[in-house]
Amino acid sequence: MAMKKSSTINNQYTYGFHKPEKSSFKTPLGINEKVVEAISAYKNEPLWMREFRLKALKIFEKKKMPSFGPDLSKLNFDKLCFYNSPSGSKFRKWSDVPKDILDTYNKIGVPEAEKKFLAGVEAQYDSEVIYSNLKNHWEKLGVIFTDMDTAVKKYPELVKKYLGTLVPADDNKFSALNSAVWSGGSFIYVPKRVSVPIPLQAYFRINAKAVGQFERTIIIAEEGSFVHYIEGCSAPIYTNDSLHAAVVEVFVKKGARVRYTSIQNWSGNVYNLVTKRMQIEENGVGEWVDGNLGSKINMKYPALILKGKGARGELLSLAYAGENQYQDTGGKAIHLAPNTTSTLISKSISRNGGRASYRGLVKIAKGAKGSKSHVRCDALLLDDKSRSDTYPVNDVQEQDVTLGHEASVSKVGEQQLFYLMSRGLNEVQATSLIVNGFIEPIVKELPLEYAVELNRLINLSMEGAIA
Amino acid sequence: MNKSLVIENLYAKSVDDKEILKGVSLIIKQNEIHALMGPNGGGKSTLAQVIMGHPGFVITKGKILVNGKNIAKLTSDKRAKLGIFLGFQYPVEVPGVNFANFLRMAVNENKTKNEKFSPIAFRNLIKEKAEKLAFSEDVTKRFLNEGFSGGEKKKAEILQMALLKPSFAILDEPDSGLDVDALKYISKTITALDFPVGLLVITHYQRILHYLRPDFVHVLINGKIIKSGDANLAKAIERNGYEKIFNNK
Amino acid sequence: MKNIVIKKNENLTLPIIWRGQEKEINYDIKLAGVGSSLTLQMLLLGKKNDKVKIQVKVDHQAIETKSKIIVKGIIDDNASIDFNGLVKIEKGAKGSNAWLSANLLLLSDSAKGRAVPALEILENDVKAGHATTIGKINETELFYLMSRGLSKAKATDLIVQGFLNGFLNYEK
Repeated sequence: MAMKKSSTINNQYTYGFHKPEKSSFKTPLGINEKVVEAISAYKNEPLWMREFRLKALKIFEKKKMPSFGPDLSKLNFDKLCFYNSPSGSKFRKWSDVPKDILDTYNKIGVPEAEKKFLAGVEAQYDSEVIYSNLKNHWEKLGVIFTDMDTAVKKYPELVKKYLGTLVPADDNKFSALNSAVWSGGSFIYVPKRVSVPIPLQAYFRINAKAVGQFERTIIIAEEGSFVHYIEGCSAPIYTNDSLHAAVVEVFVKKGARVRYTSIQNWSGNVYNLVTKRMQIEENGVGEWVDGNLGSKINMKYPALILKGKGARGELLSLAYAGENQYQDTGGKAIHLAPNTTSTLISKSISRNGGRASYRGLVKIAKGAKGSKSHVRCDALLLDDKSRSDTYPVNDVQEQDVTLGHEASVSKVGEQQLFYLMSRGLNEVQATSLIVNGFIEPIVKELPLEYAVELNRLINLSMEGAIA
Repeated sequence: MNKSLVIENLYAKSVDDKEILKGVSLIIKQNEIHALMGPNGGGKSTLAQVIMGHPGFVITKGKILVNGKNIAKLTSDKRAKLGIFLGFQYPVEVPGVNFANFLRMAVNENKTKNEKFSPIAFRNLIKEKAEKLAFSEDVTKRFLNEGFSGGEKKKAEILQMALLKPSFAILDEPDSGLDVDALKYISKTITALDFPVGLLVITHYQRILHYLRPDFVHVLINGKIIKSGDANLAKAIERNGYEKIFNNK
Repeated sequence: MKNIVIKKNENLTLPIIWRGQEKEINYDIKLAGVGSSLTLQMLLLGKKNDKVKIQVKVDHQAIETKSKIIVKGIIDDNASIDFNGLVKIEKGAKGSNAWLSANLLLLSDSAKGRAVPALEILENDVKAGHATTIGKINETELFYLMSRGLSKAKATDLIVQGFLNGFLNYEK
């Protein structure tokens, strides 16, 4: 989203962001015990967190790379920098930012100051007043919304109770990596029966770099509560780091509801490998709205664990794969209790040699009687260079259920194109309309500014203005 | 200037090499109503689609002139901009595309910057015209033809024509599948159009010709127009069928 | 593993019926010739402790090729079916059509079904789709028949027959 409301980055103690660091800090390339210990020391973390990291590091070293999906062999862990403190980041010169990124910002109407921020050029971005008003508001409700680093120090019991319980370090190689070197991310706690009326946005507490490489986010929604969390940005974000591996754990308690909206549009050099999981208890409702526009390789399968009876989960996933992009996305729904329902809707667009794959899992365990699951994944191939795959696993161990899955792959309909052109729209306009119509069920769930920007991005890419 | 749509000795085949139009010639002037009749499979729909530039057909000979300009090689959108409109026999559904937004885009294409309609102004305009057609639900909120009944799809085509204001409109069976009331609404809308237009109405059942008196009636059989006449020809066909006319020509 | 290559303009209709004997069924079918087509109808009837793992791969290698895979499974008692289908349309196989549908009906409390209908599409001028359903008999259908005086067993039989009818009376 064009960041209209911005955040205080600079070391404003009063807002509890993060302590001013005296000197910039950057770990040497590669990952090992020394690096992990240095990160923990630099952050002044309690012992239990340092041990958490070290344990995870051992698991990371032993774990194998994923056996499915895109080829990750070019990732060389020895050549990457795993921690670069915000105040120490070097920022690009304005003249270093690639022209096509600048052009896009211009075309979608991002104001000057935000352009610089998004492109990683400026560290400061000022809007204290707005932020503090919002903060007062949610603090009065008893809501905790802070960054993970602060939460570790300020709310250790809470963090210890939940951290790693949904996504343990040994879940996969990248959750182990994240557990070892995580930094930044959000910590949100909503007390019983509290409904947070405005969506909490990640950039409210953003740090100097647009977003961190290894964010760790935990959201806890106590019984009967509601919160909507939004992170990311549909405008392209230029970043130096080439590996992003975030972990998100969301706990939706009895009768609560959480919606997590995330849009990523990382530049074309990024490997984005994310593990996100939501556990939903009795009669709770969990929703993932997932927009995947950028990165070179993106692997993300938001999961819904329907643990309590009557739990409901929904996933709306959008993936756009342009030139040199491989979007391997989808979702998982695991039904563990009776009368649970899941709806997974995925729309993907491939263009200019891009590859979009849907990878999904619906599993209904024995005993999950009366459960229902519906999956719909549609792919649009815009030209003859692109590719689309679907790998849906449907596993039913309980008789008294209904599971349905439909998928279609097609190009833009010739009849539809002819119809729209016969009304005077040229081929680019007609194609844009059709593509925007194709993703409408997902876009309509996005906050307005994202939706507008997304539509404009699609129109732009139809014109071939961006790859 | 005398505006006209001239079809000159037109031959066309489908992309799988079947010759369908075998030398069709026709002149339609603005403010004239022409009816095109003929048995199924004779090429009426094909003619309509070829005039609009459907990708499933290829012109092998002949010309299509709009006010003297040959449009046979132009893409469909360019033909639309020159004032051609096709009311489809089976309008396709385009999911997720809002009806009003799409139509406003299309209408604004032919307007200068100052004349362009704002979303609100346009929605009011559509609502007003839609009411005259007795559309059952607020059409501005729906997606293009998605979930429209057969009758609603036909009404939607006429609504689009009323707002796009073409110079020449080819209506492919605007009356098939309509109930009596719908037929009346559509006919009223056509006769009440507030701009000059030359109409080519393709009809299989002739019902609409009771409401729209044609100036000329043509019969297309096996890809050629074998007889032309006035409104009386239509009446004769209604009484006697095509075979007799064909034999008596 | 059965390997089949379908040549130019050849149409292959392959009916496969499983009644619990085999534990594995493997087919690798290539639509190698222009205009070739495949209709694969699989009827799977499992009961008692029958288990089967099925892998079917269909590769569209030429233009205008068509495949239609219809899988219907009735799973009773402790039986379980694991169906893995992969339909691939190679780059250049323009004008091809692929359709895969897998319907597994679970008739008993311990019946289990798994279906992975995968697609790999490298050519955009095609039509491809698949649909899968796994579950028990539709309750509304059962209720309707029983409300006409049929016992649950008879109603179930009728519904199962209807489920299979689409398969048995299949016509191109």
